Amino acid sequence: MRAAGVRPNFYKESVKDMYVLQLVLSGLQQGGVLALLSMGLALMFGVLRVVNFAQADFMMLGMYGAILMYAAFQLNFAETSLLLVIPAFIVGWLVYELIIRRVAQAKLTSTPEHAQLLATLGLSLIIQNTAEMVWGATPLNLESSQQLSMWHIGSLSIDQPRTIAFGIAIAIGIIMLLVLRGTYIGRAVRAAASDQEAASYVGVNVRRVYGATFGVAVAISVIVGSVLVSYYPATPLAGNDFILLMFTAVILGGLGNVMGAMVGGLLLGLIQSLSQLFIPLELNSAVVFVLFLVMMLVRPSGIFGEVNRL
Amino acid sequence: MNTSTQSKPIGMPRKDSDKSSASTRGVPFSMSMSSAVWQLAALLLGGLIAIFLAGDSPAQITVTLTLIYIAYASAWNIVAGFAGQFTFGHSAFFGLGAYSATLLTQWIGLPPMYGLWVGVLAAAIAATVIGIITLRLRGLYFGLATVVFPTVFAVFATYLGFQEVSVPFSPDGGLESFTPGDPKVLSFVALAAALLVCIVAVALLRSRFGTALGALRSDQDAAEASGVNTTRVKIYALVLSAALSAIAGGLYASVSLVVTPVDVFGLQMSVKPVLMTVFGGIGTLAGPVLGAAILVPLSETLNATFGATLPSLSGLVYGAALLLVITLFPGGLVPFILSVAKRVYRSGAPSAAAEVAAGVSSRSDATEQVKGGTEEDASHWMPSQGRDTPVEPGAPILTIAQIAKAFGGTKVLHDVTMQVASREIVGIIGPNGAGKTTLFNIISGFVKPDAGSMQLHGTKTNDLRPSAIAALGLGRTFQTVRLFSGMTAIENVLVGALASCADREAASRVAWSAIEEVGLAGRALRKVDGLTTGELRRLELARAMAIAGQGGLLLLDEFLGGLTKEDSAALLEALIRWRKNGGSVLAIEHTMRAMADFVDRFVVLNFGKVIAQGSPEEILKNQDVIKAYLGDKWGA
Repeated sequence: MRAAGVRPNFYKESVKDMYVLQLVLSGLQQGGVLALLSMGLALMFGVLRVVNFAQADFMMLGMYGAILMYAAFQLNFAETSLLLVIPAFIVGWLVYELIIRRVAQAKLTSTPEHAQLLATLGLSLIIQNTAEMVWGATPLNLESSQQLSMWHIGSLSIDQPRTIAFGIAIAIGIIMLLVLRGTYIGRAVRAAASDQEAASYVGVNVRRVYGATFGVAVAISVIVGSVLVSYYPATPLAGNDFILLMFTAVILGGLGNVMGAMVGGLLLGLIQSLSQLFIPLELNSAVVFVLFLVMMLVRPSGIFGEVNRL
Repeated sequence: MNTSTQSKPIGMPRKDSDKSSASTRGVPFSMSMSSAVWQLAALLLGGLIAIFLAGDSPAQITVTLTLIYIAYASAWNIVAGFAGQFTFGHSAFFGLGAYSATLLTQWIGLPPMYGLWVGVLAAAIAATVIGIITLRLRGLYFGLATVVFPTVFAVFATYLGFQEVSVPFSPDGGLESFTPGDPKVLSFVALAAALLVCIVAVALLRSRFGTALGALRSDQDAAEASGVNTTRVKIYALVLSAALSAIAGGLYASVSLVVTPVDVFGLQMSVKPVLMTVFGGIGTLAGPVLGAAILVPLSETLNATFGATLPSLSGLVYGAALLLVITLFPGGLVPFILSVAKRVYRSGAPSAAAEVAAGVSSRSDATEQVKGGTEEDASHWMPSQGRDTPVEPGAPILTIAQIAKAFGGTKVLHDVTMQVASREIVGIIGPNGAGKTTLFNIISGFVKPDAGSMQLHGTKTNDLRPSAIAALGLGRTFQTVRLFSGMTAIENVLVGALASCADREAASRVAWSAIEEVGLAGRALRKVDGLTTGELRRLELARAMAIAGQGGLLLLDEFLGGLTKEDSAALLEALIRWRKNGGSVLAIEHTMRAMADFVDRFVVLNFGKVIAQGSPEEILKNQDVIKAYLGDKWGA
């Protein structure tokens, strides 16, 4: 911050500074959640070459899960996400075994990944519409006391749930990167990602790695959902608000690059938030997509490229 | 990108050779005219029956909607199914059609029937821009990139205040208002639109452009090497598909009566044609029609019956239908029904064996004709129209000078200078990693050199794309055979021939002579997926010959790999005939022995440098070459 006292119009300046700072904060908060969501998408693509259209719908399921858990047992979102992570993992694994693996051989076009993408598209429609049947289209909010609490630092007000969500997202993201880089499991995953056949020769159970990767990606989405619902209303189509942003973040960072997706997500949150300074709010999402297109034109492989994928 | 008209080689067989079967046979289209006419007639009849059955009941709206989606899905199928470029953003074009039709009515009172065409134009322009931006991307990336365009359009439509534009209803406005008193009228218009899209699709499949689309869908690089300007083909397909989608969108506005960004530019609207087409069978003419004809009435009925209590049931059915088709029979309903029908028909008809027998006899006929043909006809290839000055034997065909290339920090080629003269067979040899294949990729335009210059038939090729270089008279093969799967053998060769011939007839003559040249006429009508390795190599050679044309240059990348003695002997004979007829060859091989007997000259590459050039005898004695090869097994 500038030395406010030196300037005659310091009051105005500092208000503007504060406003910018506030925008940076909210951008980071939004970006953190987006980053974790995108990391799940990128992980799935990096390892299985699957673009999962249903990724954000699992997040939506997590939102409803948290609401139900709170209504039934007064569990807060941290407890809920701990409780949901195992079932989510299993669901993801099942989706892989029952759907994705089956269509892996189908060759619709010269791009073999299209069949899997379409399968996830069908899955997305099923999840969204079933959710609407069960819970209705009306937005639901988590009725907990945490919702409106704020921290105040000077004239800055920091939204607690958002900050906690950000913290959890970044923590999980970093853990994921560490696991991928530094453990045996991570090496097996990266081996399976770079060459399925070669990995199987050196003893990696590729099918299991794939199933587990799918499970982890789905679990991450569910966690994000249960955290996000503390400030974001749940609707059956909530996933659609995020899926395009997730794709954008993943492309920004380089398709299939997990760390790239993290940076891409954070960056996107910041850009979205700060663009309010220059551009009317209604055009906000257009900014993101125009950026996405510019990126596609200038560097389609993303900021970090696809080379060191995971 | 046909850069120069003056150099467009055309290989044409002699016209007077009545003995040769080539001049009398055409290449059958992958879709026969009678089958196309039947399918179009079925659509017309089905549409009319549905319209009259529905009459004035509310069900007529369902009929109209179904026909609109038939048009929309069939339009999407052109770019995704025929060209193989999956888009998830077609609602951009659909929405432009819908908004143009309604906004122009509101602003200047232009009836939707005319306003629609403004939408078509807008969609075509948008598709050109979108195509230029995104079509450099391949496969999944392209699909993902297209998702964002309708979203951007939706944002702007909202920003400009078009959240809810209603279509003025004018019961006495006549046909051009699209909302006349009789609901049947709009159905007829929609039927006309559906037929229009399907007729365009048929015309496309049966044109030379359709052959190029098939090649592009199957293998982009091989298509480019066969002289297909893949970028241009993609953009044409996208623009055509977009314009037709806009027609569907314009009609849709008159059914929904209210146009909102979420509806017409939404992800859902992009996904619908994908769903219907994939459900019915992508890349087929009937697939999108059948998919829409099943799914739209189904979801409309569900909506009408359970809409009040379970509004999302139809969406659920869409999702389940897609998932089921993808997991059970990924090709879609049409191929599935066809295969079942074939099985039933086969088991019932004893004529199958006779059919096979007939096939065999006609094949041996063909082989005989070929034998008669190739021995007498020394030259199937006619001098090109473009290069009107006959190429002197010994004159340089290909000249490359000081070519250098580095990937990252690794210098793969430096200072490579060499020539191939007319009627010369040159072999490039060198150990693994010597840069042979990179050199080929540079000559054929797939990789741009960092420095140096290249000339083919006197034209500088440094900045040309592979298809343009191919059209100058250069046919290449790939280290691992890259043919267009799903096409017949003769169609594969035809793709190459079309790139250099003015019309389809000339091209099909060239294709037949090429396929006879390699002794595969008997296999010509088989799908390539059923050929042996040796046959595949020979077929790829035939395609390269068809591309190169008379006096052209063949680039052969390890073409003897994995072949039996008989197969390689047949290939070498074909090459010697090729030279006799004025062609040149540049061939890569690991082993010197296989080539020593028939090459005029060797060029030896090692670590990206030319270490020796000369006749086989000179090369075998050359100390540098022996050193480079020391420890290497030659003559596998």
